[in-house]
Amino acid sequence: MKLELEYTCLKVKDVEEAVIFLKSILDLELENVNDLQKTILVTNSNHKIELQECIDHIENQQVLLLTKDCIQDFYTLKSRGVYFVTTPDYTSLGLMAEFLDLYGNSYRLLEERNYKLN
Amino acid sequence: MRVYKELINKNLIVSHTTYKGEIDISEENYSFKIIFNGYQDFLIGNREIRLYPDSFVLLAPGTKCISRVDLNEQIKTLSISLTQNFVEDFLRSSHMNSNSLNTYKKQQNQLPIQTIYPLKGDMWFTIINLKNQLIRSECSEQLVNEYLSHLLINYYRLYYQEVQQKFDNLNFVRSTTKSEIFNRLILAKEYISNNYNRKFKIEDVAVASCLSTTHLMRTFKLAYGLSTYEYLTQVRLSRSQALLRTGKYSINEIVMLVGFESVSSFISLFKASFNHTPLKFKKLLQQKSSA
Repeated sequence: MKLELEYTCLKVKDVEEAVIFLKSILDLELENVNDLQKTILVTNSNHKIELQECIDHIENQQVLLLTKDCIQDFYTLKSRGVYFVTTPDYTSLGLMAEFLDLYGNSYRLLEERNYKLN
Repeated sequence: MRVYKELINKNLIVSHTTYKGEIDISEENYSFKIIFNGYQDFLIGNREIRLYPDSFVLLAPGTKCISRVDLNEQIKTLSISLTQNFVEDFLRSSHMNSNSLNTYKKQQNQLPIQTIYPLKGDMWFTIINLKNQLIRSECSEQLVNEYLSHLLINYYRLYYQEVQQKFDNLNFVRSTTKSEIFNRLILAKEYISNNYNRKFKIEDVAVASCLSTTHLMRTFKLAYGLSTYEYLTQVRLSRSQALLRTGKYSINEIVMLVGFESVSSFISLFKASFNHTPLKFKKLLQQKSSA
């Protein structure tokens, strides 16, 4: 069995505001869909994030974003006003930094490093 | 491509091609020397450090030395010079709270820093990412300084593993004896690293490090957890990885260049050390570069 993950569902208080954050700050693309009930953003690797409006209490979620250069993207996002909970630090998977969106959802920016090859 | 970037804080990064010849160096700052092909010698007093692409050298402020290239091949070099103020500020900064520096911070001893270190793991990734950034003309100073801080994080981690821990393994009562023996063991390591591709005897290493053969064998194993022969094998395997990375040499050529006696022993030692055969390693590198 080979399964693929298609969507990550993200609950936000205001979809329009979240789209602005994901498009202008994280450079994700807004996907055109016929069904107006769905707001979908697409990453470079074609992974999709579906936004769901949730006015009441939001249970914060975690999104893992892969990058080729964590320090560069940390610097770029910081200059765009993103709030980082942790600066780039070393884990067994590679270099990782963590930031929050407007609703407290957590994004982990990970530069995967294959230490066996280097 | 030549890159010369001097920052406002006087940190300096120079990437260029060096040709056959000698240059006098007088370092005012901490200077990391890296090369990407061939080898380059650093003559510091009576000491000779031969730098290969799998290692880097750190020169301390105040060092006077001669840098020598005696190959006809053009050598691609990278020199990263950090001011003493930058390093002192780093040691007082929040970077010192990084997960990976917790063990280093507990140490107080002043040990030699001027030697060869393996260019591996996070140090390798930081240097490659920094080099790629420098090629882009719009790379900002603040971003470069962020890489340089990470270079220091990675350096202090390596220093802890390669110097501090090995020093602590020596069980001499008198600290002056311990320091003296450790300095001599560093010379032994450098001799093995410099001469890895030719035949030499343990007595040659002992002469180079001013230790008797038995004392060398006993203290080397105590500090590094390896015999001198096992260390030589490790150096040869590391150099073979660097040669495989260039994609220019066949397995047979690499066996000859790094000083192994047979292809079969090279393959079995390589597999035991890196979990892949040399061919599989080469394929994985190709897959990674085409991804």
